Amino acid sequence: MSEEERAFREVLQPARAPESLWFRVEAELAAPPANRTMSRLALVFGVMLVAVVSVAGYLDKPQKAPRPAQVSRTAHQCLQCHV
Amino acid sequence: MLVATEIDPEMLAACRAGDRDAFRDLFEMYKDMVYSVALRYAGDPAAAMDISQDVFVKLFFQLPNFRGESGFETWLYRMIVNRCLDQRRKFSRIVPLLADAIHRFSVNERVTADLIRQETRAEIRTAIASLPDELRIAVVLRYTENLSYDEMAEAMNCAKGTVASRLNRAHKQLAKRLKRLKSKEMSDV
Repeated sequence: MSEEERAFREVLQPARAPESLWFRVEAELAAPPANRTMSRLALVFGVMLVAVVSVAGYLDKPQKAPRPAQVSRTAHQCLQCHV
Repeated sequence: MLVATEIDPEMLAACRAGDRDAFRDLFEMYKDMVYSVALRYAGDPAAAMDISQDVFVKLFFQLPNFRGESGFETWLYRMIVNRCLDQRRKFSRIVPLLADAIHRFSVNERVTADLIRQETRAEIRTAIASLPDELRIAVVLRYTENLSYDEMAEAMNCAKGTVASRLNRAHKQLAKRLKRLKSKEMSDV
């Protein structure tokens, strides 16, 4: 093993997990499952709401009348502008 | 390092059924392994605790989906690697600044030979912290967990050749970075 590798092993040696880790995991596991379910439901509901509002907004938007096609660039022939 | 004892299938089955006592036993078997990788990767005990907590909570809920296609440890390593890489993305802008600040502080504080040794360690830690995510996780799995290239490839979900290449690049970058730190230090004296 090279000097460099020995130094890396020393610096990166395994550590012991603090006892408090289990209490944190346990507390998280003990959190009522309703919280997770509710947050997922809230997310799904939110996405659906945004989708419905977007579709409704699109359908409500007055459709623009198509621009009159300009038949000719010459003033004499353009009946839309020079009636 | 890889836990030498094979995981008890009965314990695993009990965990999958949601048995908290069995899960506590599983936690005791793997807590140091999970925490070590998280700590050496993140370089910060608070971040390591967050990562470890998330990994075990995820493990508890994902165990029913474990099909045994790969070994349990490999599956767990993959979970840790993914969580570590997620953590780094979140704090990628803060950590290098912090590591730099710690390095400067340690340089100003050197007084005795012991402190100089600590400083060398800090330099190596700083150099490791500066590695890109995928190179750093390779170094941690290699030197903290003593994994073989095959085991690393499975944990990192890549080819063995990629593992070798990442470790090679990591060594080169570390050597370069440590050399630069050393020369900077010499010019400061």
